[in-house]
Formats: sequence, C-alpha cells, structure tokens
Amino acid sequence: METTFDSLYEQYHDDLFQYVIYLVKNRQVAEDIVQETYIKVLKSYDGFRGDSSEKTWLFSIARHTAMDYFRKQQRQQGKLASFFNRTQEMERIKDKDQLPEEIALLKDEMKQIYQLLDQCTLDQKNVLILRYIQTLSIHETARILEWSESKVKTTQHRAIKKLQQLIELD
Amino acid sequence: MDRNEKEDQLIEQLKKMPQIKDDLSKEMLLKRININLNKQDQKQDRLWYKWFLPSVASIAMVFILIIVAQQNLFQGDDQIMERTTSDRDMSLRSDSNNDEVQMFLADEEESGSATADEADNYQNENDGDDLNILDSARMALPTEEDQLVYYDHDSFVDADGVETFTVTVVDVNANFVIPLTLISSSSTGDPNDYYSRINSFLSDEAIEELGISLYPFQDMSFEFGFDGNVVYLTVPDDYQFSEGTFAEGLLDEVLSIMFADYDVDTVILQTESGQQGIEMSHSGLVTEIELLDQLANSAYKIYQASSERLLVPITRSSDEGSTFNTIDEAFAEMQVDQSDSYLTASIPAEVVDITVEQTSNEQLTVKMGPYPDFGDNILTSEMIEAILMTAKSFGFQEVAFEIDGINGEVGRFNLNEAVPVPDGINAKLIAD
Repeated sequence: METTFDSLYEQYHDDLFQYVIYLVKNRQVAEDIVQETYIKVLKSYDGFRGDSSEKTWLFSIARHTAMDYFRKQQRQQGKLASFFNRTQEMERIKDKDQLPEEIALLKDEMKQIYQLLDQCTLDQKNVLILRYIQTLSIHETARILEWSESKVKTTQHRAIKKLQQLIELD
Repeated sequence: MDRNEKEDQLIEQLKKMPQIKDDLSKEMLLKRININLNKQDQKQDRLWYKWFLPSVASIAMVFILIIVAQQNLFQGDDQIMERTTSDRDMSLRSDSNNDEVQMFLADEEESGSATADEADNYQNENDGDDLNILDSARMALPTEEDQLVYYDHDSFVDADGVETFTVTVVDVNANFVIPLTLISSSSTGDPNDYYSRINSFLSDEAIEELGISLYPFQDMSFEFGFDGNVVYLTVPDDYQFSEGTFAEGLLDEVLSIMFADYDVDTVILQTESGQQGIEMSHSGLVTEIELLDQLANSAYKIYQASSERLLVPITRSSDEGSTFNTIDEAFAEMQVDQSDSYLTASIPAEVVDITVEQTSNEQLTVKMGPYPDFGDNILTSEMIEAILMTAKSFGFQEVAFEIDGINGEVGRFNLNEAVPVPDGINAKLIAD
C-alpha cells in the first residue's frame, strides 16, 4: 500500500491539493478531503480498471469526496439555520476563512478573482479550476467531471462570462 | 478593451493563480491515512459483530417460535383428544361410579383451570407488549445524535477556534433550569462575544423542538466586567419580569449555572439608560445577584416535552423537596418519574440491586444487578450519561461501572475502564 501511495503522491499530490483547496477554500477541510481521497483510492486501487488515466480517476474521486463534504455542510447548515436564528451570520461564515498566504501576497485584482470564484456555481467553479488553474485539457476535465466534452465547453464559456460580470459588479 | 479581450485577460489571470502548498508533510499524511484505515477496519469488525449477534438472535428466535408453534399444534391435538376423552368420560360418568374415572376427571379439571390461568397471563403479557413497543426506540443502538453529554475531545468540539459556552433555559412549567452547551466553531475566545448577543441564539423553532418555555434572555444582554468576577446584565428601560416570560424565582439559578465555568461571583443588574437595579414583580428593586454553585449534589434525569431529549439536573427530591446530602439519595431520585414535569427516571425504577461506592476521592464505583433491557442501547447509554453527570456534581472525576450482563461497550462508553465525567451536557452546535 505504501508503494502505491508513494507513487500517487509523487506524481499527483501537488495538483490534487491545488484542485481541492481552490474548491473548498479552507486548508483544514482540503487536507481532510485529500486524505479521504487517498483512503478511497488505496482501498479500491486493485479494482482500478484503467478505463481512464490514473490522474483523472484520482481527481474524480476527490471531486466526489468534496461534493459529499458540501452536501454534508449544506445539511448541517440547514439544520443549524432552522435551529438557530442566525441566517445572516450563516452567510458571513462562508467568508470567514483566512486567505492562504500565497493568495494574500497577490495583487488586489487577483485576490478579487480568487474570492469571486465562490459566487460561480459549483459546476462553473469546477471547470474554471480544472481548465485554467490546473490547465487540464477539455478531455481530461470531461473525464473528471463525468460530462461530455461539449458540456465542458459550454460551462467553461458561461463560467468566464459570469466571472467577468462579477468582477465588473464588484 | 472589448469584452472578448477582457475575457481573454481573465483566462490568463486564472492561469497565473499561484500554487497553494500543502503544509502537511507526506509522512504525516501517510500516518493519518494509516490511522484512518485501521479505524475503518475496526469499525467494520464492530459492524460485523453488531450484525452477527442480532442475526444469530433472530435465527434463534425463529427456531423458538417454530418449536412453540409445534407445541401449540400438539397441544391443540391433545385438547381435541382430551375433549374426545372428556366426552367419553361424561358418558362413562353417567353410567359409572368408578373411582379411577373420578380421579381422572379431577386431574383433567385441574389441568383445564391451569390452562385458563395461563391464558390470562398471556393476555396480561400482551397488554404489556403495547407499552414495550412504545419503549422500543430506546432499545436501539445509540448513535452520535443520541448523546446527551459531550467531551472536549469530541470531534465536533476538538478543533482550533472552537469554544463552548453555557446558556440556561427553563422547562415549560418554569420549575427547573436546563443548561445547554452551545458550541461555536469560530470563536474569538472572548465570552463577551456570546453573552452580549445571547438573545439571538434560539429561534422559535428551536424553543419548540427543545420543549422549553420562552427563552429567558429575549431582551437581555450580558457583559463581563474587567476583573472577570462581575457580569453586567442589561435590560431595556421598560423591561418587566412578568409571569409567562420568565420565572423570576429562577433567576439566581439561571445565572449561577450559566456562569459556572467562569470566576464570576456577582451579576449586577441595570437598565440600558444606566439605572442601577431592575424592578421585579415579587422582590422589588434588585441591584445584584450573588452566584452560587447550583449544580452541586444534583440528580440528573431526562426531560422531554417535545422532540428533544435533554439531561436536567434536579437539586431537590420530588417527594420531600429536600436537597441531596449523599449520592445514594440522588440515585434514589434518579429512579423516580415525574410525568407531570416531563421528567423520566434516568435509572429504571425496576433496578433494585444498586451499590454506589466511593473507590477514591476521584472515583465512584457503581454496581447494578441485572435488568432485562440493559445492553448496548439508548436506555443504558442515557443512564450512564446521567450517572456520570450526577457523579460529577458530587465532585467525582470518573466512574467505574459494574453492570450485570454488560461487559464491554455501551454506545461511546467502554465500561471495561473507568469512564471520565463529561465536560458538558445538551450540546448544540451554532454557526458564528
């Protein structure tokens, strides 16, 4: 198991962490999701059929793990919102996480883009991260998101338009 | 710059987004993965164990039912035979005074009367079954959501920036105080952050779910004094303690329990315009309240007036109203239901063989005789939680349990070792 982990880690870890942290914007949560992704991958590695590349398989599992996290968070927030009279503060919690050091050092314009990513839909955010920040191909992005390539192209087009609009409005 | 150029520029900026480094080392990550994989394996083993025993029990039950059903069938046949014999005997009796036959008939009658008694008993048992069905929810395996106590090391508490703080509410009849521990996930560590806006914590839905009377802090705010020994309670100038909004008589208890974790000894009452004191309907103008250790020597019971189950410290016996001088008295109270107050006994009243021994200054040992419903279920888990809190109120740090028929885990508790007393009760997560 350790050999498999070593190999995956050496080849993909930086990209994997990059994808997840841009998606969840919280270092602790990103670490947990990446850890959970490795656990799932290591447990099912023997059954990996190689239909897709190892990298897209790994990213696809990371995406599902992150989705589970978002769903869980949504359920919890729904529960909390009904339990506590804190709707306004629930909104504020989304922005409470500190900027990673690498982002904090950027120009304001870049920081703005980083923050406005959260106002895109999750699909749009996924595409923007995979296609532009991770510079993956349309084919690879489609495999990770389990979409058709044309859906990736459409979503990517809309995502850029949306982000541009948000920048202008901000 | 036209729109397309702007979008192209945006794409270029996205491509220049920096690599965010993972601070966690490869070795540490691998270590965590291994720990988690081991945990999952253990969980799988436990799941198998949990699945295996009920399955074996179910199969055994089916066999027992088949055997019982077969016996009933044979008994049915016997009864037909008996009836035939009886008819025959009737005819014999009519034309014979044979002693042997008389004796045989006497036996038959006794047997018949025993069968009728058994039928009555069965009917009574069946009546009891209806009640058992109502209680069956408490026989389920306890989950995290069933926990009434919490420990600081619990996963939802044990994280950076997490703080807990206590607020107190009052039951529907305004007879006793119920502490709630609110867990904040992004705390500044300053209690003023919470207590200054305490009136916003519970929504109407939450009050309904908890089954409590109106939240007592609707119009109040609290602020800690500089030295930390004093808290200022501020209310609007026109504030009135009136029946239906707050139980005035419980104010000292409410405040004492709420600030028990701090070094606060006095609460100073004032109005928003700075007037010292608050006019109470019964006590007149009250300027300050001295706080006391209200949770000492309590018996914990279960309160449920709505969907939520809550642990509640009871400080006086239900029959005489006296305080508990010994933990034995508290244990006796824990076996008393007070249905008119929505309080249920945390230790089943039927458990008679209970021994409570002080093993050391810190440790209490609780021994209990057998009880059919004890097991890895909510009933037993809640009982353990209530006992732990009761022990804590008497100054103990841990409790060793020797419960007949239980040797191992009940919910989150490993009873093979002494169990430390919890850090709080009735925990609710809040988002800050």
